[in-house]
Amino acid sequence: MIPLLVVKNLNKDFESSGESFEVFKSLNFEIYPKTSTALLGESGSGKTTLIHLIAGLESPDTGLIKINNFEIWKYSEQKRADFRLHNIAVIFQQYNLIPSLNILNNIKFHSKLIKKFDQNFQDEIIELLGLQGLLKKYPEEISGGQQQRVAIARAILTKPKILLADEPTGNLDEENSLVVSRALEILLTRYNSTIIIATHSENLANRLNKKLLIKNKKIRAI
Amino acid sequence: MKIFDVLLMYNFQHWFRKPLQLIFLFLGISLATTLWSSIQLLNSEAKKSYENAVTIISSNQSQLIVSVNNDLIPFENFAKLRRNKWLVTPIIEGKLSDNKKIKIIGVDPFTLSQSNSFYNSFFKTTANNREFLINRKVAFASSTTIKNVSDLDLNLELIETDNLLKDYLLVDISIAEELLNRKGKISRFELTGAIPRDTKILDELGLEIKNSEINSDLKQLTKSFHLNLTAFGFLGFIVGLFIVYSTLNLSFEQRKSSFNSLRLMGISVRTIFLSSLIEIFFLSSISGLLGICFGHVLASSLLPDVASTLNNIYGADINNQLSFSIKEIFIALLMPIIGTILISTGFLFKIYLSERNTNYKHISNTKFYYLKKFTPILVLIILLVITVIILINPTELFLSFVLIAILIISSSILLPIFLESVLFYVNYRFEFENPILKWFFSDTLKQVKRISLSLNALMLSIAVTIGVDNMVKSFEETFSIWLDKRLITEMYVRADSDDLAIKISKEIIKEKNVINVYPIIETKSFIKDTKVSVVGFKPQKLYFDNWPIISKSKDIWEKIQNSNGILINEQLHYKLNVDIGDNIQIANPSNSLNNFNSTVVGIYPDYGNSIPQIMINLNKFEYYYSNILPRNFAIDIVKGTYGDVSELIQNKYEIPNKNIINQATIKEFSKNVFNKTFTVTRSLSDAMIIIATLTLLTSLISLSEIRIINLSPLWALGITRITLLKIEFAQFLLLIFIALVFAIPVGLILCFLLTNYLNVSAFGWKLPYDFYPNIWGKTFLISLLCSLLAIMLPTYLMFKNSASLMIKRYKNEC
Repeated sequence: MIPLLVVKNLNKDFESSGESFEVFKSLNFEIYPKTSTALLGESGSGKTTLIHLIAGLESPDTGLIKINNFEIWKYSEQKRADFRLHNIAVIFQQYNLIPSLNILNNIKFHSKLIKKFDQNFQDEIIELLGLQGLLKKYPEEISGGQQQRVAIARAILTKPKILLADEPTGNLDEENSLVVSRALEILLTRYNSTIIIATHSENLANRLNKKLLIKNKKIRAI
Repeated sequence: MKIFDVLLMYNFQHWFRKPLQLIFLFLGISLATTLWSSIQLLNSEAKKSYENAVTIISSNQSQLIVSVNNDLIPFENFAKLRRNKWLVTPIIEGKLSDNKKIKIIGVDPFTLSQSNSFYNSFFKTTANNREFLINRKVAFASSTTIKNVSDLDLNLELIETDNLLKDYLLVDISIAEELLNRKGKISRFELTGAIPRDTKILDELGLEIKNSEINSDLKQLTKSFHLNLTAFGFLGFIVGLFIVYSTLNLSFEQRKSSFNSLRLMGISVRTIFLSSLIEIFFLSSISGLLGICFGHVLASSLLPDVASTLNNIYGADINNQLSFSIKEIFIALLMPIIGTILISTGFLFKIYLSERNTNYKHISNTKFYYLKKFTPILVLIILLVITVIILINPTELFLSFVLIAILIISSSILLPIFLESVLFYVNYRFEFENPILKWFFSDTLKQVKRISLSLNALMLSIAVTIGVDNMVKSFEETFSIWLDKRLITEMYVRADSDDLAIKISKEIIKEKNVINVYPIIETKSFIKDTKVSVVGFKPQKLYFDNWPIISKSKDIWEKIQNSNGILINEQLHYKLNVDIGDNIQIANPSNSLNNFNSTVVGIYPDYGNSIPQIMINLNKFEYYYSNILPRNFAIDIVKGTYGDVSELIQNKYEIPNKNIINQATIKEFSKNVFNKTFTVTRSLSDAMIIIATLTLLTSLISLSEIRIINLSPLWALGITRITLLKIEFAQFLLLIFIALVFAIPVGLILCFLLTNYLNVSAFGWKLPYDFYPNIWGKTFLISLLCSLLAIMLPTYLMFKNSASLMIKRYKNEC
């Protein structure tokens, strides 16, 4: 089977107060399509950075990231953005909702943009995630947990090739976390997406196919 | 170190961490202060000049005796008046032939000493005044004047004094006679005692008493001019403060969470409030001082134009050098300090209230929700009521300015409402399927609140420019047509003596190429205690065909010819509320038994004249004012013969060339005066556009950090930065475009108020209200271009910095 995501010899440093801080050193791993992977690691180990590197939001110092044979950091910003728009969905820790759109339009936004909008699927996800009563509200008017569920709904509706989620249940209670897991399962089973989730939640990680642990600038399967 | 000091240091550290904000804050306050203080300096300099002029020309309450025909008075009249128990002192005034700038004032120190006013105001406060009495070969002058006359061979001992205006030399009357080459001719008398009962002697000598109204007249006449400048300066100050508001708003927003943390740590709200107040006070003082310095530079550059305007229109002499005291600096500084504190009250109030309400959102969402929503509507209703009340009786100048202020305030309140309504309508009416378009309009709607102040600044400056330019253009065209109609003949001649006047009126008509001669005669009189000018004219076809008339009764010229009616100027019409068909009594100052009544049959425009005027048939004039002879003549000549007729008149009648003026010269002079009058107004309206553009630029740069955060979710989804920046550019452009469109009707309403109310109350004339779309179009395009430039820089900076800033935003999550 051909891997969907290939990461080879990935190196990444951060500059902070004039000092260089190494995040990853020769990181290598592969992820296969239609699988779900948990990225585990302590706070500050680099889980979010890795999600951003894969999404093409942040550039590696050296190394290769290939998604579906598309070498993401080889191309221009325009092509990279276009690839991200049509193939990747990211669920951010800070939800990243669009403040000037109401919840319904936030949910629709990405899927409409790439012409993958499906009204029935939208209704199903809205119901599943319990967002019915929030649709006319604006992001600033709802709680953090609610915003997180909206961000998840928006990402799922795009039926992406690869879904990158950064602590998607970080602000949710056990019941809502289960609901989110169910929504992600739909994506995985019905739309053949590949899911990578950075999480601290053992429960969520246990529901996924594979676990990768980031420790001491390296990554390994556990 | 006390908690307060630490807090203060923390507050100032914010500005060092955000140098761009500090620059904008300084720029805003100093710009606002520059405009305001420059106008104040100009007004104050003019005021000083008027007051000094009074000290020189005559005292405040004294009365003058002048020639009825404004001629020089033979010196023997002095003796005649004294013999008839008239306590007068002679004054000679004129410009030095060697240096036309230097004005000579000649006084007789002995008779002058009886005049309490001048004597007290000058001699008693001037050092070395005894020199003047002992040694007649002395002259008093300011230090600048002494420098200016140092190269002239005056053969006088010059004594320095601060009590005289620049370019004035005060000398003994005998010295003035020599310097001005006016042996035995004086300019006027000043009454130093009471007026004797018998005033016959004045008629015999062709003299009249004139109240010394130079001061009040000059002050009154120039009042509207200065009020106009002040209004512009104040508007500029407010627009400049918009920059300050945007910057302070951003700085307080950025520190809001820190203030909350400090409060939760146990620092009292009072301490936070006071430290913020001191911070604002300090920053506004420093930048205000900077603004005063720039204001001085600006005022110095504008002063020559202002002086020239005031001289051309009102004949006022303004010192060409600025001077200001520490007290004036202190007063000027109060404006930026108070202004900045006032615009910070919202933020300070929030800090103060935070003690009772931990959550800001809670305050804004509950307590102030209805207040915020309904305050603009309430203000608009109050303004509407005030407008209606004023419109019932809008004759006061102050009320006209109140109307303009109401227009400015209400349009500022309405602009954001208008913008939101348009965008709301578009957003909900069209239900865009394209998510980017949907986001575009929703986000633009949200942008309105963020940049509404700068949009208001832009809208107001454009509206003022459109309003003023439309009025000036309207006035210019009316004035040009009016001039053509008023200057009925090609040639105007003035006779220096009565004999010559008689000769001209009888004989010039017989000369070759002369078609007709129209005598113009004028005297001063009173209607209902209001001083008016009475003009006598020969009502003939040339007048019927040309004389501009605003409103008239049937058979107007027939009635004038039969002496059954009079014409009044617009100033009289508005000032005394006299209309067509009204019968008015005109006083005859030399003989009260000879007062006469007449019916108003026509009203004519009389631009540039500040005095109410009536025009009556020459026969009627001669009947009632038999002691006055016409000295001015309008001469109708065959076209193209001006040179020949002029030469003939000069040779045959011995009239100097300066007393013969052709129509073109008067027109050119009048148009020149007209253009000069609006130089300062135009400069100020241009300055307003520049400040408004700067306001837009600074607020967009301040906003760019917030905007990057707002745009980053879209970037993260996969929309490129360049696409986002194009959208951002289009958003600003759309908002600016709507604001500029909104500015056009506001400008036109302003023009309507200027032409129909302000001009009437300030000058006594109403102007036609014409539309000049090319002027609005030009202003619209210029401001759109300026705005484009203002948008380009922040969007370019955003484009340049956005990648790192957007990444930084996500990095925070690492």
